[in-house]
Amino acid sequence: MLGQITSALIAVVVAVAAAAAYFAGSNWLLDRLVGGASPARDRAVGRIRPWLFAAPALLFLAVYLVYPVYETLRLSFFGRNGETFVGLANYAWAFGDGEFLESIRNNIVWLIVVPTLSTVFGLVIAVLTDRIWWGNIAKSLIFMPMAISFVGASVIWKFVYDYRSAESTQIGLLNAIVTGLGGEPEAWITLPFWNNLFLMAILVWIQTGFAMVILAAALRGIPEDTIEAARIDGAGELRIFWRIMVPQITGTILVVWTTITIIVLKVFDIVLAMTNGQWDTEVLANLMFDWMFRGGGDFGRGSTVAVFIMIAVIPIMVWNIRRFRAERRD
Amino acid sequence: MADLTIRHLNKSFGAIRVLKDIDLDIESGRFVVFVGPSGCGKSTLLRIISGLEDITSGTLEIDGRVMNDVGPSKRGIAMVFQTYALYPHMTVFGNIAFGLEMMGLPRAEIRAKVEAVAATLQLSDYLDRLPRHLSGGQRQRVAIGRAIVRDPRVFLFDEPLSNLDAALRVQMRIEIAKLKRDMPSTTMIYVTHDQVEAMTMGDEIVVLRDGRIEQVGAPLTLYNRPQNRFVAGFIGSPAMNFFDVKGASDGTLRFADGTALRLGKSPRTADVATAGLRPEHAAPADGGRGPTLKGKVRLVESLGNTTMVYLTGGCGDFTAQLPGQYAVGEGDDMAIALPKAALHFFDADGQRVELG
Amino acid sequence: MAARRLTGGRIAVHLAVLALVVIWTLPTLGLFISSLRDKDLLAVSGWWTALSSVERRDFARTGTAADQVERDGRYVIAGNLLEGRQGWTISRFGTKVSAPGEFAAGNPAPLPGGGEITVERDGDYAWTSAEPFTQDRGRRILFVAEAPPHFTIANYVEVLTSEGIGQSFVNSLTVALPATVIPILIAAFAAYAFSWMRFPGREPLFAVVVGLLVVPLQMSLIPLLRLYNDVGTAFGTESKGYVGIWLAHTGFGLPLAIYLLRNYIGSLPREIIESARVDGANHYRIFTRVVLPLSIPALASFAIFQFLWVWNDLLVAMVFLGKSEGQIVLTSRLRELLGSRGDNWEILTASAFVSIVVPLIVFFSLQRYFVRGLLAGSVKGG
Repeated sequence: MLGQITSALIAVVVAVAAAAAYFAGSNWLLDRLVGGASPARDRAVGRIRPWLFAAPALLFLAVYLVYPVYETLRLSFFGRNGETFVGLANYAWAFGDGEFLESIRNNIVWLIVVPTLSTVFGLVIAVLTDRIWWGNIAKSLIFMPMAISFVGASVIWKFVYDYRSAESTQIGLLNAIVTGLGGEPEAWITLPFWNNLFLMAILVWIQTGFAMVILAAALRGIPEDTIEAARIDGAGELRIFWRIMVPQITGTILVVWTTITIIVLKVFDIVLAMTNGQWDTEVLANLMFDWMFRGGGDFGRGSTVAVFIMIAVIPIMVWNIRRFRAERRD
Repeated sequence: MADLTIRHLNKSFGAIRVLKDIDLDIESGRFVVFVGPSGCGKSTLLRIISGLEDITSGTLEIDGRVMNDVGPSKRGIAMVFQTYALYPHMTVFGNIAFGLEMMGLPRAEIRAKVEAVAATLQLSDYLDRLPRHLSGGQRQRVAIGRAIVRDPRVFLFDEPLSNLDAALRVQMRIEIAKLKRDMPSTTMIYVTHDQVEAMTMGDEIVVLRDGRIEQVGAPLTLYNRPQNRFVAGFIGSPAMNFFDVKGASDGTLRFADGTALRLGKSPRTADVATAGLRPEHAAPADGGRGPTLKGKVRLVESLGNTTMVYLTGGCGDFTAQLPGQYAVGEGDDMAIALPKAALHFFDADGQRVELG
Repeated sequence: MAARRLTGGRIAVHLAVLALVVIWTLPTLGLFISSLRDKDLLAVSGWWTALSSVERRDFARTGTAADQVERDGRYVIAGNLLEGRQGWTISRFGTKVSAPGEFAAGNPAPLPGGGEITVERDGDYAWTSAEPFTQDRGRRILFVAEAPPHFTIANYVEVLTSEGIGQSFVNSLTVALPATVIPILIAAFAAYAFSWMRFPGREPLFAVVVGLLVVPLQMSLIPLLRLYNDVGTAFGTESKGYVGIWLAHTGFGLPLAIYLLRNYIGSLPREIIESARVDGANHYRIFTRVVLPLSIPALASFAIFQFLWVWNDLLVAMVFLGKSEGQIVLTSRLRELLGSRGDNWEILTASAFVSIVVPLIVFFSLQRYFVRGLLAGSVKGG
């Protein structure tokens, strides 16, 4: 164990040293070999240096993100080992596959429910906690689930959803409350259709803190005097919230909503850990992972599922880039 | 058309006392200016009248009704904020109409009122614009419009001209003066730190310092008969010259450089510790009789219509504002006359002393 | 803020927030408390009962004939039934399995074999008989007692040693530390170039970075897996290993790192950079001597972000790292446990808590930086 930690620390040192050596060395070389002699050479130095700075990052991005996007797209037209070209066969399979269609259905529900609930809860909590003296403590506690891994959260909630038969004592919190109120205990994560909502509750539990933090900051940025003017104009608290505060932070609300949407598309840990897709809970991210390794791995089908996830992300990507460009122009 | 009555008003933020025992009567229809250096509490007092801050102790009455616990929208007031506080996501129409919507008026009536107000402020062409597409002056007018349309009994202005550049400021002063003319029966309270604005716009000025009222009166009253040293030095630009003097019961005032000023016998002469003379009343002695203050010219500023002369003498540094283009150079000696009528006298506590 | 009267409205806000906080913290609290309970209790009673005294049924054996003493003409075997059970109070006891609570504590109970036994609330018992005792086996006495809340770290000990959580903890650390440090250096230089240096294609390239922010990991996995396999066969090494995952996390973390750092570095006062140029420094000097030291808050924010993300990651670890003891990380191990030891809640709760304790510590102590990292670039007006 100690040896392992040591090698990790050594790796850190080596990596930092290597990076430092590259940056320091390449810049020194540039100055030595090209620079100094004349204004033209200085200009050449100025043109080359940015590339020295950015090269390692661009290289990593190209290898780990840009190339794979193309490659996955390409592989979706190939067979299970990536060698044989199969045209649109994988896509045809997808639209006929029960599991795939179930995933699409479930993902749609996830995409509607989780971002909306997280954003709404986050906004409400942000507004409420701003008005009490222990607001920051409350915010911390609600934000805390963000620090936990999705698997860890799954263990926590599996415990909450635990089911024992009606004769035994319930050790799961939800069933204990239900039986305490006189109801029958249920195996929540196996109930058709509703089990998806119980899984979604976990992600809402985690992401609400994220929405809350960002929206709280946005609320703080609203000019206080617009609220005072509304008070003088006779608006009550609720009216002020809807007509004056929320409209002034719509941009942030959208950013929060889309960020959570992306997370929803990528999350597979919760479904994997809680049900592994059984009882009709399958989602695209989990399905893709499944196909990567099922029966030795079917790269064609796995890539196809990944492509669908990418398609869902593209509108948001385009919107983000547009927004970024608009800001640069201001 | 509302009387304001403030009695024994105190306001503290935690342990810090911001307003101390304020008593004030404002008659209906008057244009009153709260003026004073920063931190004097003028904005706080305005916000208390508006209802945005609550009262620690004391009473505020509008038209005889105690308003201490009444919400801002129910006091019949309207406010123009320093930063205008326009709702950035609503059009000009929306901004002006908002208060009326909150009152629950029918749509048609709102439209009529908003358009009428917009017309008087020359905003009719901008009703569909958003605040960020308006100039500073136009935003100012929208802020005013939003206040007028509510038909308030009391109109509050919180340093409305501070954010404007010099040219716009003059233009806006004229607009507000017009407003005052067009709404003669509406009580208006205007807060500023600029005593020039105070002098030109108010029927009545309330000078505040450190949470207390120093003096209340018409602009010229404050100019001609300041009740204490602070007001004397605050009102009037350039500021009054102050000289340390020793008063004797035989009616003589002795300046620091030995100059003696003979006044009529008065029991109060012995109390006088400071004499004040406004630079615009400091004229060269021109060989006339009577006591003069002598000094050497340190700096001359020729402004065309006036000449500012900065002098240093046995009684300290002082300034003279002379009409036209007075020919004097640095290093010259000058003697300033001391006309008794133009002098102000203050005791050791800074309070005005009337010498018969 | 304007005057706020303490009305029912205010109290409602307090209550509402309190309710929300309770709902949000109860699940985690339940996990934590459960991890400290006896494992046999865990399976039969809810964790909320652990906070108050529980009724327990148990039994103990009395002493044997060898322990008897003679007192006042009677023979007595005495002792305490509650050895090793701190704080229990016996309320009832009995000699028959069918009636363990037949007698109240403090009262004498006749025994079929002769004599009588009295068991006190604190567990002291006295078994008296007119005849000398001959048993060489202690008599089994059953009792019903109130047991106070009892917590133990036995689950943690078990989980850290025999379930391999300790090793997984080290594995996670081994992955997370380099995967946090390496991207920072690479991204910082790139961020500076994007902020303060001119080169053709700067804006479109950064737009690409912004676009890459949202590309799902799933798009990268299959090609990279094939690439690693090919590289592994070409060089004769294992495709799954720490170096591979360090590089992968670096690649995946770069878009966010570059974005965050560029926002921060780009917002530094232009005059500082310009005056350094006037002083004759080139961009490399300016970056290393002026900008980098000034960027420490942003670097810290991203480091915390990245550390938490890598520590909590499951997908990348499952693809690029194996399940061998020397490689399986906490998240992966936890998932395995959910499958294989799904009913052993004492193992699951303790393991889960070990996996979340580091993020929680990082979170609570460095919350400000974490939040600042989140806010960078996210707050926009209406």
